[in-house]
Amino acid sequence: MDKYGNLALVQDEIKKCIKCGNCQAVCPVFGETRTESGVARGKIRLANAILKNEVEINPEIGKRLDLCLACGACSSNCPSGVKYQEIILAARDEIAKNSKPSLKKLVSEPWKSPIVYKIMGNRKLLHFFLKSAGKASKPFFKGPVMRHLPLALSELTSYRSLPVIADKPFRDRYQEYQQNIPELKGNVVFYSGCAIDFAYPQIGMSLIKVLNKRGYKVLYPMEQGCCGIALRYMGDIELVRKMAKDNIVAMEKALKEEQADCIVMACATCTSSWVHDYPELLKDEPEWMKRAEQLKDKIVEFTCFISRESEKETKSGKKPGSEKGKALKVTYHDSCHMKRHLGIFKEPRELLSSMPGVEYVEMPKADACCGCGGTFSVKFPEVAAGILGKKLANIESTKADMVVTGCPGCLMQIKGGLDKAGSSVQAKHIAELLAEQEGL
Amino acid sequence: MLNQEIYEELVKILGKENVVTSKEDLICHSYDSTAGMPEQLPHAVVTPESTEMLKGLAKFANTHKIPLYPRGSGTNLSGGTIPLQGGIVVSFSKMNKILEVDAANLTATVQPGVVIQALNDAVAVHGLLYPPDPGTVSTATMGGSVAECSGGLRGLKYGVTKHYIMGLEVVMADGESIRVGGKTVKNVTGYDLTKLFTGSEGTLGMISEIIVRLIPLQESRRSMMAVFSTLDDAAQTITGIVGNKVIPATLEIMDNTTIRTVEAFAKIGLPLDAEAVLLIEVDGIKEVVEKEAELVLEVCRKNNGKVQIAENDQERDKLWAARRAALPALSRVKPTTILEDATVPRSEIPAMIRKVGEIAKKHNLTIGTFGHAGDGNLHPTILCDATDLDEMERVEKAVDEIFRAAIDLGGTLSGEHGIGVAKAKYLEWELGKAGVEVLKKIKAALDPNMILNPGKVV
Repeated sequence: MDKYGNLALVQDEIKKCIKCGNCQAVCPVFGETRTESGVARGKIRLANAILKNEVEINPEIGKRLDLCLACGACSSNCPSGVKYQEIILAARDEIAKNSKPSLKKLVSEPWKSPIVYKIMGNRKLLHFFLKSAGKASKPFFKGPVMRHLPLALSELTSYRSLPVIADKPFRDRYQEYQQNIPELKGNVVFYSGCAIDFAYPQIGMSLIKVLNKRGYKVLYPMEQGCCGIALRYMGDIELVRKMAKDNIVAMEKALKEEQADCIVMACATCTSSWVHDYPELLKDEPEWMKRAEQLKDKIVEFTCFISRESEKETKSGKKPGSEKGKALKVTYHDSCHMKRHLGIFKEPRELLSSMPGVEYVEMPKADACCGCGGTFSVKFPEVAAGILGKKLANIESTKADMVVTGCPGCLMQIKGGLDKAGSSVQAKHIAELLAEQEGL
Repeated sequence: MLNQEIYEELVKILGKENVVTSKEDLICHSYDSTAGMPEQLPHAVVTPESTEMLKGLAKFANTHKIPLYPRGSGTNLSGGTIPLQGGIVVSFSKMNKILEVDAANLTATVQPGVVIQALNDAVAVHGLLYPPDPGTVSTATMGGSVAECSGGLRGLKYGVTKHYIMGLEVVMADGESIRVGGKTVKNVTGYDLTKLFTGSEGTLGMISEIIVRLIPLQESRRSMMAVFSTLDDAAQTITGIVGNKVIPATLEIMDNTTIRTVEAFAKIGLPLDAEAVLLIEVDGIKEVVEKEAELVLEVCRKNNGKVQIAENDQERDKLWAARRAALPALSRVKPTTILEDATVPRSEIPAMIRKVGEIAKKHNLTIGTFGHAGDGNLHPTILCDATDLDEMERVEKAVDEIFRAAIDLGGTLSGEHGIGVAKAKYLEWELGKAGVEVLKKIKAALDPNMILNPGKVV
């Protein structure tokens, strides 16, 4: 039985916790709630409580174990190196497995209903649903932003506005777009993830333009679907395994057919899902795990790809072009998945420091979580709002004109918060900024 | 289960949102950072928001003889916040405001729930510093830190918590509140109650407000690391530094076991056969710092120390990484880490380190000793497994012998971690029967119903 499914198998990690409380110093949730159950030490103890049958699995313990962004800050400050992520996921798995479905739960947590799972886990159904929602909602929202959702959904926009679902998703725009590649060097496959596909298609378009300029044709296999990370964090492993396998097949096919040698990704969360979760999830099926591992080696995150290309250019003696004019002051937010899960934080900063027309300024606590945490920002709006507030204050303190990041999830949270606060600071994905500054 | 009547009274005093009785939350308050301690569920956890609420709570608890256990972040190392007899954990998480920074008078006034680092961040803006720096500055609260009289790395030059507490507001067991001390540099009005409550570990009163003394931030500092092949050379260096009238801001030591463990963990290039490493920092006015650093360097070299000096902040951080890695490295060796606190006069450091080594060998245990060589406060750290009952028996014997050794060398059971539950039984070894009687009389006078953190200290 694999570790994910069974809390008992993470006992060794639970044992490692020496209860020093160092996690309190960095936990964004604890910073808001100041409660012991709001921090890793308390949650590890609660996971142990389930294991030792001290508590029955019930909504109270479920709520407390849900109150975690899985941002990884605790692990980075833990003297004992406790793999807290494994504990919280195993605990949530156990809770998902042992919770009785009820009408009350369905009403209060509609995203956990079987219907939602069915839709999310079925690529064609999900895409159909999102596209329809995009078209149907168009008459109700002016512009790209939803500032006020009606009635029961109003809490979703209480502290930050949300992007409307794009009327034309990226996958449609891709098919209509004529790529323009001056000197073809090779092909790359692009895996976008849902946020770029349906909420921020312009990020995908920017990526195409930037890669075209550098001599690469971008291939977008239509059979790609949601990476499944949201479902993973809610504790539905079997479904995520199926989604992973479908995605693996789609990417393998694309790489082979298009003779591409890498898969570029511009969503830190999806990247982390592929790189860390897929091999782990498929651990018990060696053939599949091998395929996941092989694909993992082909994945290149966007800023790393650009960085690699810049190095090649510098080696060949070419100097990057520079534009004259007023420098745009830009600061950078490290997404949790980008920095703590993937270890990528130098490349984006190097890219920004050498970008034409940009003056880069580092913000305090650039790697502090933005409070999105996927569904966390929906389940716990007050806590998320507090965490976001601190991030926005840090952004404002830099006096930057713009904040960029490498994760559409963070972008959604930060951009929405800046908009709701009436701030003049812009928020973009780093690919968008690069395309703009290169005049593409 | 909490009695319904008591619950309703608590709600009347504190408000519904400040009285927590769900089992999940009670579990989270049944322990603290102390290793090898029993856990105990309280009946309730309350989060008072003001002195008034605290007074109402104390009065009520005193009438009904319900134990109260004050708690900050629960990061103490002596079991001080474990609710041993059940009862009510009093969490100060909501009383966490910095009330005032009075730069002109070099004071600040804070509520007990303020984290130590938050205080320092607020006063640094004024070019000021609150010096006591226990390892938990980023997590521990001022209330807890005052109740435990925290130490830290700067003890020799700057003193400890009690040297920086000018005044307190304390809620007594009977529900009255008193203000002791104040903002004046000198105050000899009545007995020194400020000092009495500082370090009282929540057993004589609940601290509800704290006035601290601040000092100007130093303009300059120099750090260095010296490696010694023999303990004696390190010992001579420690004596030599102070003998040369240099009082370093920090003077830390790590023994061979600690060095080996840190090297295996952090790979910073520490020689595995070195018997001791010293980490030294001098701070103050630039010209003085340069002079003192030269003197320290000379003493180290005269005693065969191989020295590395930090030329800038990055290099300083690299040197200190070794000391900071001590606890993380040691705690990864085995599941249970028992961090002891036996303290001796500075001149007895080599004897104490050797004695700990002998004790470790005798009981077949791994013990790494590191700590504050400047003031003699050492941390023999026992690496064990709480589930190995045989080993834990040997650990208990070893701990007894470590305490015995410290006292015999003219030292004390606890330099900075406090007595709590963990060391209560050893008090008589150090204070004698008559001394313990005095403690008991004070406790009986101020808390006759034994409701304030019962089972701790006395």
